[in-house]
Amino acid sequence: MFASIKEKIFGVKNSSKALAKNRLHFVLVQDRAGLTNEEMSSFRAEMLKVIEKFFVIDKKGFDISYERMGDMTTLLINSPILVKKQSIGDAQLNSNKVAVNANQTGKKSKTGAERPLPAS
Amino acid sequence: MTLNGSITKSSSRPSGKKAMGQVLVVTSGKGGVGKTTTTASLGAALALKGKKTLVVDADIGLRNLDVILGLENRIVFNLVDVAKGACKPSQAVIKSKKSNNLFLLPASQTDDKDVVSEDEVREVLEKYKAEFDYILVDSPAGIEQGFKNACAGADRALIVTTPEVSAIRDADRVIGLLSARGIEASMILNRVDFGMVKRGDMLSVEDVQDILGIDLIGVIERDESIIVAANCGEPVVYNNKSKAGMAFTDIASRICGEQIPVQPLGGMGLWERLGRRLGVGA
Repeated sequence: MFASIKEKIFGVKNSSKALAKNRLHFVLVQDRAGLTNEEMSSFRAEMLKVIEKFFVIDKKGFDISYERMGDMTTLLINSPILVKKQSIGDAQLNSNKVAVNANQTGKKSKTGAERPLPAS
Repeated sequence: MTLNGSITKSSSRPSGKKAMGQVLVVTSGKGGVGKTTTTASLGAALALKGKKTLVVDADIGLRNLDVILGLENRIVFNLVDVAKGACKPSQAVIKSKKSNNLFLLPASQTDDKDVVSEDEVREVLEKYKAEFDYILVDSPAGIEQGFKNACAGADRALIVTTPEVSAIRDADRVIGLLSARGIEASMILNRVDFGMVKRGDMLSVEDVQDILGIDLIGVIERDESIIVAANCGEPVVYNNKSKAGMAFTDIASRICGEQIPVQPLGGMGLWERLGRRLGVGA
């Protein structure tokens, strides 16, 4: 009972389940990609570099995940855009989410923002 | 990939609607998550529904399905004997004590996992397909030869997992391997403790579904009656009071194509549960 009151006051952040979900998220992205820790972080860094050439993005929201639908695996790169680079002066801060889809199995490609792995 | 014995629908056999039985492999990647208990319980539940069911122990060298079903004293021949032609297929199967519809094909306890090949297992299953409505294959843990053998000839897979990081990680790996083989997989989430879920100390059914992204065919609550049933060598579905037993019976119905919503009893309120018992509402 105290636990649930604590939860209501402080949110579920200090629950061990949230930690489990978060850790699984990272471990599964690596497992599914078959990349090592180092490869994954360099992929992430290079991806960020490329996107930042064209967009101002919210780095905190940047997320790489995989989604499986039947026999197809989709790489999802979720990059919240704060504003288009050319129009920074407009001070119009739109937070749009753009999902970049790359196909892993090379069978079909998907479009649109998909449900990514649960982020933290 | 060619699924051996694709399900042809005709009425050549009087008892069933399908000419050939459906083969389901029960697997998990990680050990100790409840594959054998699930195989035994679902086998018994399908048999109770009037489906002639064969449960196959594919865990060569570490057999256990026989003890869970209480049939350890009746084994004469096994899967390896059938594969090598040392006995007739009908000689190796053992009828369950409790049901005329449930049969066991035991594993060999003295051989290695690689004593049989995938093709041999497929051929063995083929010999029983005309005879049974459902064939459940209990896979060994791991993703090596034993797992590959268990998947050979499967039309469908049931992935057993628990709401723990290690079990989910391994399940994810197995889902990938099955999908590469063209085998459709559904998930059974085992040993859920709804008290812990409420406290935020266990991943919820929805969390696991989100993470693994495959069809959920059933949720089994953590239940002491499963251990009691294993002690007695009687599948838990024969215990009318057991929540786990009821959950397995529901999964058996879903395997048969019945549309029963997946709602764990522990997630329901008292009245919902009562209503469900009395057959009112979902």
